[in-house]
Order: sequence, then structure tokens, then C-alpha cells
Amino acid sequence: MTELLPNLLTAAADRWPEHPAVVMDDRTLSYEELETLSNRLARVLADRGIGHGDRVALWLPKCPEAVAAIYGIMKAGAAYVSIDPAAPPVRVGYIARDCQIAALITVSGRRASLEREFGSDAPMRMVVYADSAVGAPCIGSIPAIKWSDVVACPRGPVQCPAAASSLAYILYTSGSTGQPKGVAIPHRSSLSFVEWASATFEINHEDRLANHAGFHFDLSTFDLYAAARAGATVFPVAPRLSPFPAALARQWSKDRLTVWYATPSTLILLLAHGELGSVDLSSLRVVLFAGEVFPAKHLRHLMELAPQARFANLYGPTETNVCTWYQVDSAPADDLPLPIGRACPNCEAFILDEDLRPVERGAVGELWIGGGTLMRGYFNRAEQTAKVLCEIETAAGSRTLAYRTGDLVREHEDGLLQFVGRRDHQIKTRGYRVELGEIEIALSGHPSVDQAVVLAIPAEEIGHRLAAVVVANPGAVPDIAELKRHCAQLLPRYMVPETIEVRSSLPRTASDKVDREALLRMFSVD
Amino acid sequence: MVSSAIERTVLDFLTGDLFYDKDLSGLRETDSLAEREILDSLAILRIVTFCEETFGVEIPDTDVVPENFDSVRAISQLIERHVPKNT
Repeated sequence: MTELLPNLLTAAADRWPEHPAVVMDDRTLSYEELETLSNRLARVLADRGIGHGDRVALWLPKCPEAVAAIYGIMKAGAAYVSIDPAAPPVRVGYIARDCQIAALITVSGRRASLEREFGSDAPMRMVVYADSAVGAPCIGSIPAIKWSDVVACPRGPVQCPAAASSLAYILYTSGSTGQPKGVAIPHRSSLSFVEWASATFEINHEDRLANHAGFHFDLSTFDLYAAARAGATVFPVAPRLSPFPAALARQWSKDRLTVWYATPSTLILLLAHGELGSVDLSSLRVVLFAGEVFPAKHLRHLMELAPQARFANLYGPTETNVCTWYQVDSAPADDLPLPIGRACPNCEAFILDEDLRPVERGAVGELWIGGGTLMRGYFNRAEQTAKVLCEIETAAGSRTLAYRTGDLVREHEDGLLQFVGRRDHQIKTRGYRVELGEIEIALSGHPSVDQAVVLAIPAEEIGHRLAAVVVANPGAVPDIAELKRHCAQLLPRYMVPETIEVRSSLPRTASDKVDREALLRMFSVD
Repeated sequence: MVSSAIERTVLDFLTGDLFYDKDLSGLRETDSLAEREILDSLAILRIVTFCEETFGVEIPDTDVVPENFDSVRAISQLIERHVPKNT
């Protein structure tokens, strides 16, 4: 097994240089072209002393250059930090400072907002524009180079100083304390997942994999690296196409894709508005879904449209990537939630009580995950890491490092795990993980707001809708539109509550906590 | 309603309601929305719902394609194509 993610690309380029590696819109990069372009970017970084131990962020719309940049950053020995292209600049600034990026890959159209955000306080020492053919304006005093300068660099490989234990990437997720946190993944953990997924779903050289997930989302690691491992072709969805289900469905059919890996929200959107019944899905071989519950009626519909495909439910937080899975052998006969299945062979699943002892079979307990796919920790957050990543005692009496998922599960008689709920206020909406606390802190930060509670209203097609209830500061009259704008400046749009209601007070439980259940009942009645 | 009135209504919805957090001052009817990187699947669904509810039209899924939503003018022309003939 290879030790580093970029070695997958190098091996594929050596074996299949002319084979398409990345196809997006009308652009194709062969394996040799992707290898060469990523080498050039690695050279650009290495020549400026950027490499092992550094972080390089990407904040740009999905494009073939972004794929080359991801590999190039890793080849230089650094870790890539892919930031949601739709993130507001304030969030970009927070992430960039939090992990002290050495360089930023972006596009020239974002320069003005980056300059406003960073001023003279930018952490990086260089910027690379992935689009400019002419000009490379600085951001503040930070020098920038344009992509044509990258393309002009020597094409030969850079000696990669990273090891299997080195960080490959950091993906930021919503944080309950008010700021996102960076999940730091070493090469060997990511490869452990890639090896398992590639073998289990028999990803081969002829496969054509969709890439719908953004590169800031861990679903993308399967798309990119399982494809590279097999010398297959990955088809990133063009930003102009992504919002249009019918056009996307037609494109995926035209591209004769064989593997889809997406959130249920994406698949439901395709089912509801993508006219999937009128496109040819006969090339589809594998459909994987993860990130949220896939309602049975929609899964049945999709299975009817692609009866030849293999369907599987994959489960795992960003901190562990996929750690359990369930193959859907036949369309569900009822509407009960699918199991999250059994632990992958490279992982271990433990169901523990509050005292970290195994629960009796069938009882509800918290899921802890051990094994080869674990994160190293939250970047720069030793205390937070220690709360969720620690040694536990196994049934055999040994000790093992495990991650506390916060998910409550039970094990059925047949050994399948069933998700039951959360032990905290983390929810899923449109496939995104959201800590309600992060939104509450954002709202409470507005001068007109004294208290804020955010509720997750169950919504079958997207997981949950977000609604907020706020209590005003004395004398203040909160303006709903202004509160939404305030949230949008700090949070991704999917975290901005759809509705915000102002109340004079919040209902309380007997123990004087905010009675969320009562508020949820009020919204259900409304 | 004449075309420019439809465009005004669509423009007001986009700038005042849907994209409340974006600076769309000076947005013209023919400016590309895709180039401003503001369209996502949620926004498209909301635009379709707004058009259907405000103008009493029905927009088939097959018409929800990039070229019909790339500008205020394109959206307005899409609406006009689906207005019942006796309106």
C-alpha cells in the first residue's frame, strides 16, 4: 500500500499517462497532464520554502486547477485546507488565521474581498491565482503569482518530504463553541479509507466517478483518491451546473458515469426535479450515499430507476471518514431508517455508556470508533481533541485510541448498528453538519439580541430546517432581515436560519434550561 | 405585464429578498448571475417558486437549466414563455 495520497496520482500517471484523470465541462486533464501540473505547483511552493509542516488553503470555485493544486500542495509536503467556495470572507479569514496558512490558492475575482478581510494582517506569505492569464495583483503586501507562472515552472517531480503520518488535509466543520474547527487527517488515515472503499466497491480503471461534493467535504476524498488509485476518471460537477438538477442529471447520463457518491439531499433533489426517469442510467454501477438519513421512499424510487446498480449507505463523521457501512441488497419494504451497518474491516465500533463501559446488546449507547481512519485531532485545539479522542478499554481488556462520535446507536440481533439520535445539538441539514450552538453564538453576537435559540425542524427531504427564536436586549427591536444578514456574514448560507422569531422570553424546563422541546412543539403547531 | 415590469419584479426579489447578504447594487438585467457565483440549488428552487407564485406560471423541471437563470432578463423571458396565452 502506498504511503502518501499523491503517490496514487504518480503511479496512475506512470501506468496510464494518456487516460483522462479529470473531466469537467469541456476540459479534460490526462493523468500525465495532472501529474505535471501538480508537480509544477509543488515546485512553486517548495521554491518559496513552503512544504512539510505548512498548510496551504484553497478558496476557489471547483475547477481542474483546484484538483492539480490539491495534489501539488501535498507533493510539496504541506497539508491542503480546502475552504467552502461559498464561505463568507470572514469565515475564510478565521480559518486562514486559525491554521496559519503559508499560502492561498484562489481566483482573481476574490481578491478585493480577501484584501478587505485580511488588510495588513494576512497569515500567508504568497497567493496563487488559479485563473489569471494576465496580472497578479498583491493582496495587501502579500505577493501573488498567476497560473501561467505555475505552468511555466519545471515539470519534474519535487522530492516530497512528507511521511504516512504527516497531515494530508484539514477540513473545517461547524463548532459548538462558535467557531469552526479543523479536522486534521494524516495520509495514512485517508489511505486506509481509500483502500477499503476501492476494494469494497471494486473501483477499476474503466470507472467514471461523479464528484458532486465540494473539496471541503470528506466525500470528495473518495471521488478523487479512489479514482486515482485505479487510474479511473473523476468528473467534478461544474459550478454552473450544480444548482440545476435536470441539467445535472442529463450531464451525468451523457458522461456515462458508473459511480455516484452523494448526500441523500443531492439524490432527492435529482429525483424530485432532475427528470431522472427520462435519462439513461444504465451505466450506473455503484450508488453510495452518506451524511444523513436517506428516506426509504426516495431510496426505493432511485433503486427502481437504476436496478442494476449496487447501493450502499456509508456512515462516518469527518473525524473518522467512513467507519461503518450497509449494503442495500433490496429496496426497503418499509419506511424505517436504514441501518448504518457494521464496522468497516479497518475500523472498530464500540457502543459505550456514560462510564465508557460496553452497553448490553440491544441497548442504546454512544458510538466510539477506533482503527486506521482516525483523525490526528482538531488543529490547534488540544483540549477539544482530548475530549473526543482518547483511550478506551476494549472488551478484550486492551486499550485503544477511539473517537467519541456523539451519535447514539443500538446494535440489532443481526449485528447491524442503528442510528438512534445525538447526545448534543449537532444536526444535519442538506447533508451539512451543523452545530446549533455556532448559530446561536452568531445571533447572540448581534447588538439587538440578548438570547438566541436555534431549532432544527425535521424536514424529510433535507434533514432539518433551521428556525431561530431570539429575545431582544432591553430597548432593542431586532430587525429580522438585519439578523439574517448578520448571520450570513459569519456563517455559510446553509447555517442561516430560514425563519427568525422574536419573543419576549423563552420557555424554561424545571431545571431552568431553555425548553427546546416546547419551542419545537410551537413551531410544529405553526 | 410588460417585459420591463417583470424584470423589475424579478430584480427586486433577487436584490431585496433572496440575496439579502450579497452586494448586488448596480445589477443590470443582463448581468450574469453565474459569474457572481451566487446561484446554488436552494436559490434556484426559491427563484422558481417565486416565479410560479408571483406570475401564476408553471415552470417544468426541464426548463430549470443554466441558460434560463443566468440573468434577470433570462428569468423574465422564461416567465413570459409560460404565461398563459390569454393573459
